[in-house]
Amino acid sequence: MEDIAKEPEVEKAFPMLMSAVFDPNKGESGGIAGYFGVEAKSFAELKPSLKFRQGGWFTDVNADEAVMGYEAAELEQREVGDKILMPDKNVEFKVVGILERTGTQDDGTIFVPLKTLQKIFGRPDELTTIGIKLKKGVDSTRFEEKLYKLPDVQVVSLTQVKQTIMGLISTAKVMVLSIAIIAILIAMVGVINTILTSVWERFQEIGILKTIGAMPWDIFKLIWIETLILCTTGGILGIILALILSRVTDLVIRYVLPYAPSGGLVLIDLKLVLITMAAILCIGLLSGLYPAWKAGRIMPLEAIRGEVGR
Amino acid sequence: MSQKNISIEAINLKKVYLRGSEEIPAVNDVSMRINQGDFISIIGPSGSGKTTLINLLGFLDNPTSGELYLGGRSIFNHAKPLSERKLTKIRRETFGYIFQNFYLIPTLTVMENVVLPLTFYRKPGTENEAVKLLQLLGMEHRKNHLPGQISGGEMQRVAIARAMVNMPEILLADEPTGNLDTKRSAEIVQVLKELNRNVGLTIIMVTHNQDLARHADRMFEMKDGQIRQID
Repeated sequence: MEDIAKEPEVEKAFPMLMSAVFDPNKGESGGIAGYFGVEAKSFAELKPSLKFRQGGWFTDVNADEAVMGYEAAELEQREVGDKILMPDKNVEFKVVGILERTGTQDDGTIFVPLKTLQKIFGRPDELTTIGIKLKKGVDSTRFEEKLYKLPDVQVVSLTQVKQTIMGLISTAKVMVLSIAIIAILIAMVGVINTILTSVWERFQEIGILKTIGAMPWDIFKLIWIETLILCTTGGILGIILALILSRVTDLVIRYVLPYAPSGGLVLIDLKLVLITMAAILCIGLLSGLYPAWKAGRIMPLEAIRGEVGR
Repeated sequence: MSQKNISIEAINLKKVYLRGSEEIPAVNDVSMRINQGDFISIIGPSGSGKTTLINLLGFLDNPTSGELYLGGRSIFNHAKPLSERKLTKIRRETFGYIFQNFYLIPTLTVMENVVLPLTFYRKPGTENEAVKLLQLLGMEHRKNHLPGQISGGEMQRVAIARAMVNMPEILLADEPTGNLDTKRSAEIVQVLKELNRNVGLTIIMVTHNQDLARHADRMFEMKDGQIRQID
């Protein structure tokens, strides 16, 4: 810690200890409560945007006092002056401050003095995290390299965190998109196959339609419209099925993951339904092109002879 | 039916099929003229090329060479095949077709089958033609039946009504009685004869039944792709 603080590039370094305890009263079947051991003075400097809704920072570095994030306070129904009990460790804290909502993970965190937390968990002088604020104009990447030389240290810059999360999200997006594209391709092949089969089964019928005056375009339209009807019906059934299954998925996820957020997990709104329907129609129109063209080219003579001209 | 004089004239008509590398002339150098209002029959053993000829005369097929005139207009010459579009146009304006296997659409009723050609093309003045035709052919009481519910003779009558609904000048009948017994066959030929007499319909009928062929004004015999009139 001191070593890092001495580096010329560093403006300030902030020691932190993160701990989590199992809280049996949290949620339906218990949950993890996160505690953040910090030094009040340095932490406030690291995050100047933090504001208090009630109260203020700890009075002493060793005090059994806590500052609660907005949501943590809401969840535990605590106000300044109330006590909270750290489950498992049976230590009581006095709530001295409640923070304003920040929209970050800080909202759900309970901050306690660093030294107190180190004592409770029996890890004196140990840290899990050091927050570093670099001086202006310092190349963070180069400084990172420098830190890697330290033993037992993992360096995570904010850019890296952001990149990791974005990477995860885009990987998931690519996966979902690939699956969707494969599904669409399979669906298209299925539609083309179905319509081609039905054209072939009615080969003679189509040939007869041509002897009684149907133009290739008439037959093309006939088969194309048939494909559209097939796809529209399939699409409507699919959407109904999706609406039902999304409820089931919801229930299954809730059963498997007790901490799932409340509200609908799978959201199917009108916009999605309309987009899906439009996509289905486009796929239908595309898939119908080839079989319809094939059908339009059936020669009446071949149909009468009972030959299949391919 | 029309006031126009629609005749068919074939000059040196030839149709060659390829079987492997072997050329088989199904129709070999056939020249003939069919006038408006004619009722002609073509007989011959199977494989003699009579079906190929009627398909050529009815613009269902393109000849390999030769010339073909319809109402004095050169439709086909110098081995230039017609596009499917052009063939369809000629077919639906001028021709009606009936076949041995009737080819009614099984899922449509008798009436729906008869008016089906009007979905694609309608000549002016054909509004009540379907009803009149079903009456004329004695099929009015069956108009709401499906093809599967009526007899073969009745199915052929429906097929004739369908072929006639757009008032064609020429009716091509390829073995129209091939699937019918003697009594029904005679009835169908009688119907054709009446259409020829009463409305001046040109009829070209292919059959292998000499007795039925004799009902025509002129009788031709096909043999090895060549045609010969029988007196």
